[in-house]
Amino acid sequence: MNPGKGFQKVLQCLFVLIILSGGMTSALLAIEPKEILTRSLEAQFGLDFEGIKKTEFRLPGRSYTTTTRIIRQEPDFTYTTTLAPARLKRLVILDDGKFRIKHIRGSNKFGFFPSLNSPEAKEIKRKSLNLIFINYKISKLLDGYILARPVYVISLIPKHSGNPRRKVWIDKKMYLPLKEEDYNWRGELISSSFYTEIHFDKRFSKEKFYRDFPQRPRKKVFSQERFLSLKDLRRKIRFPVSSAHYLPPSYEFQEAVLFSKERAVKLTYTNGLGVICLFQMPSNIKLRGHLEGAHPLVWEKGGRTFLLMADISRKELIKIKQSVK
Amino acid sequence: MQYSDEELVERYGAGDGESFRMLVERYQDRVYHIVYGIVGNKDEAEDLSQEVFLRVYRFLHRFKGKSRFYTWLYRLTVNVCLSARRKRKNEPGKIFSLADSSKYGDDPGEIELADESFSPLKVLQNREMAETIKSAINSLSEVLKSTFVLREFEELSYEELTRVFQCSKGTIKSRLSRAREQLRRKIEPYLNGTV
Amino acid sequence: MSCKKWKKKLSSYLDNEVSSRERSKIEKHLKSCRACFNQFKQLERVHRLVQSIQPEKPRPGFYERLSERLCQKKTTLREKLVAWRYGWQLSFPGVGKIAIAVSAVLLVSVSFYIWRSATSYEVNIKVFEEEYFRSQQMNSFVGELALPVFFEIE
Repeated sequence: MNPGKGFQKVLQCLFVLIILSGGMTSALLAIEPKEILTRSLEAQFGLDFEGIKKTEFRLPGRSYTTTTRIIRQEPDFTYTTTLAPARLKRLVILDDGKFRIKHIRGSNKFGFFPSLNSPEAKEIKRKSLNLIFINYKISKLLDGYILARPVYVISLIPKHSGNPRRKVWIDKKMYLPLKEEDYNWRGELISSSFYTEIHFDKRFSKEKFYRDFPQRPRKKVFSQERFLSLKDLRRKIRFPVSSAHYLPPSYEFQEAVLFSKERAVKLTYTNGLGVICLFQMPSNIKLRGHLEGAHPLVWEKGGRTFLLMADISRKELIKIKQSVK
Repeated sequence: MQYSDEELVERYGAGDGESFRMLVERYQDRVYHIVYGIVGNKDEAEDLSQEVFLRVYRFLHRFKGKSRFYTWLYRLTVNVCLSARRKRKNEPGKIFSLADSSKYGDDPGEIELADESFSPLKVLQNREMAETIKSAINSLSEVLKSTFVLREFEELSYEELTRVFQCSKGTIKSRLSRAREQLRRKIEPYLNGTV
Repeated sequence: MSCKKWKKKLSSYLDNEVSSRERSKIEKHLKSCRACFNQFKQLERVHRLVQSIQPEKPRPGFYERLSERLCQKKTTLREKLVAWRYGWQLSFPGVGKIAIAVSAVLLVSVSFYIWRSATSYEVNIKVFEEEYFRSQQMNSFVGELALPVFFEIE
């Protein structure tokens, strides 16, 4: 018997064991990308933090960058001030879960919008996430760091071509998305947002934020109504509503919005990430001006003007247009 | 890729801002030339040409595509010029610039007053002749002048002119005939031996 | 037909905007009438001279100046509104103000109602673009931004 050979065997066994156990623990500890996204949705509504966020929006031939300071208090309070560009510096947005009040500091201008922290808003976001689970291939890329914090990097690739994709960086500890990049179906970066500063667990007394805002607005006039179903909408307006009967694969109705003093309607359809907006209004509303970036389809039919906007192929846009009735 | 006017109008209607710029750049020289022909003054021509395109910007959605885009544009151009002239007529002190042939007759002294800002024409060999012609055109009444300018400068057919001015072919014929006859008489002394 | 009538037709003949029958008639007359022939030749010369005028062109940068004026137009309207409000504060004492305000509101609301149902009004197309961006942001994970593009409180 060769003692050297026996030792080698033991070593081999040990090696295999180590590999096996290592693989098993990492498999046990690894968290599914879907689970990360689900937790991140909860984190968006369930954290206290203060951060500075930079967002860049790109359109053909131009881009917009804004920097905002955000104070978030769970479950439904946000206070946002704009740091740049200079012309928006006086813009303040307070969202308390019921109203989203926009205000230009130093003026008497207030705009009331439905809250984006409300249960209805959260429900819309949850539905979108479920659609993402169906319509996107979700994969975890190599982990990274944002602001010296370890993050998961998740990539969302559409199962049907012709749709936008996303890359998102999610804080490993708090599950808050710290950065995201959206690319359109042509592969061009269309928007990116990321935190340049973040401080978790910061508590504020909310009262001080209300100083600039009317305590109890005498009449809560919404500039828009959101999160409506088609049925809700039909009850609220006097003109008939048409909807799209053809949608590109993977798209579903998301919400109806009533705006512009209840004269215009927006129906949105989504695959979880991309959106298709169908606007309609009585034809006595004329459109003025022009857009430099987006190329909507505009048409008139049956005394109504329609506008269709989406970042999808022209062929698909026309197919949707033809199906509107 | 070269879009037709109508395609550009359609794209503009669909929200494509670039097509407005393309329309302006396509027509700015022609509109300016027409306006200059009617008002005979560079500063005013610049101002009114811009006014024309400001109105295009505001009213393009009303263009229904029943006629060609340029006849619509030229109608707008003529309207801008005529209403500006009308306004100026009512301003005291500026009446002299409107060498209305019916008022001033054919007296060349009055015509001289019609425009003080003629730039020398470089291309035309006979400078004196060019100025005489310009000044003669400028002395026509506004309506005769604009009809004449669109016919001679832009070579619009009679059919197109009826659409621009919304009048009968007979009216166009008679205006052009009158305009040419007045011009001929004014420059008759120079006509023999030239060209 | 007298020469005066023929002369009136010369301009259309020059532009080739006469019927073929008329054309041959005019040509026949021009051959027989020296005065009309001379006049036609002169008209032809006038036409050629006018054609030889070099077209005037605008100074370079026409579109840029135009865009500036497009922007200015918007501000002047806003300035007018501000000026109007300022003037209103100065020119009427309290009670008069209320009376005027009440009748103005009545008048405005009635006419607005009629106007709204009968006539058309304009909406800036950018409002729709902004709405489109809002919908895009509904699906964002990092959260919505303070819409930078055309913020208006509506």
